[in-house]
Amino acid sequence: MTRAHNVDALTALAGQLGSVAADTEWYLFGSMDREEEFSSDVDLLILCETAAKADALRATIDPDQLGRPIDLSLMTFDEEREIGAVALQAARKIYP
Amino acid sequence: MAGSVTDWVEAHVDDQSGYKVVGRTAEDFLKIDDGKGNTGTVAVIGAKPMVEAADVAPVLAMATKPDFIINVPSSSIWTGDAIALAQGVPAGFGTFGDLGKAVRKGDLTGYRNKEFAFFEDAIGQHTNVRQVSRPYESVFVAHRRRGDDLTIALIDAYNLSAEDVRNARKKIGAFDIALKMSSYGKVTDAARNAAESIGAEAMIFGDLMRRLAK
Repeated sequence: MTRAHNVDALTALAGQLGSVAADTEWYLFGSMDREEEFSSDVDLLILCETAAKADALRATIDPDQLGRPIDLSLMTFDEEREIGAVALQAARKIYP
Repeated sequence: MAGSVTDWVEAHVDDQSGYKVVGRTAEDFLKIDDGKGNTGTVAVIGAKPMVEAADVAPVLAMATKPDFIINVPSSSIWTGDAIALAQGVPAGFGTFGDLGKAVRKGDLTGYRNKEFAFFEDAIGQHTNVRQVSRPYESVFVAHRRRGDDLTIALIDAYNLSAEDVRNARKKIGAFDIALKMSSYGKVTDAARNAAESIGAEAMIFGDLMRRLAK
């Protein structure tokens, strides 16, 4: 399963989630994002406004819905600004 | 997830997996081949939210033992008893993703998450720790010579967020320490606050070694 395939699947998922995914940003990072051979999981970072939204996303997203387990990281925009997670993880935005 | 969990895993093996499914055994274990002369058998179980010894025992009671056990869903937590049963055979264990890692290491039966092994060894070798127990795959209890026992939840996150702390609490219950496993990345202030709000601490490995001493 290629990066492009996973990006398509995840952006479709974000769209299907409706209000749960509203005002969120989704990023891929790790071996799948780097298109390394034989990546074992999909590293996904989602940024959101509130703790409640993060918890709702955790409860909603099935980590086994792609061909590899989704390794999901959730944090608020405030947390991301504090530590610069996107840059630290060399993550690339896939949604919106 | 229609059909059996074994069917689900077989359907998700693709040309990026690093191995192929070449058949099934009489026990319905998957027979895999990495094309480099390495073959093995894989049992798939579907326990949730915990993988208990009772979930693992049936596949280990078969005449032919599996080399590796996958649990689906990947979010389920393996208990220490289930791990001990698998390792006693020995059989490797983990998620669908872990199977790929085990194949690439060329060691299905001995596969062990190396990060967990590092922390188990490090905690156990601390001078103030007389024994380490492992109630769950990602949870160790440090039984200390001086001071109370400390329950340590290992969190496999590049950066430790407040949600990581809340999610760990929801999945495994109370703990004293949320430990960020990666030596890279950071712990957010919100993560430290989330841990404090449940009577715990969020920290990195260096902090843990100091915390075990006091």
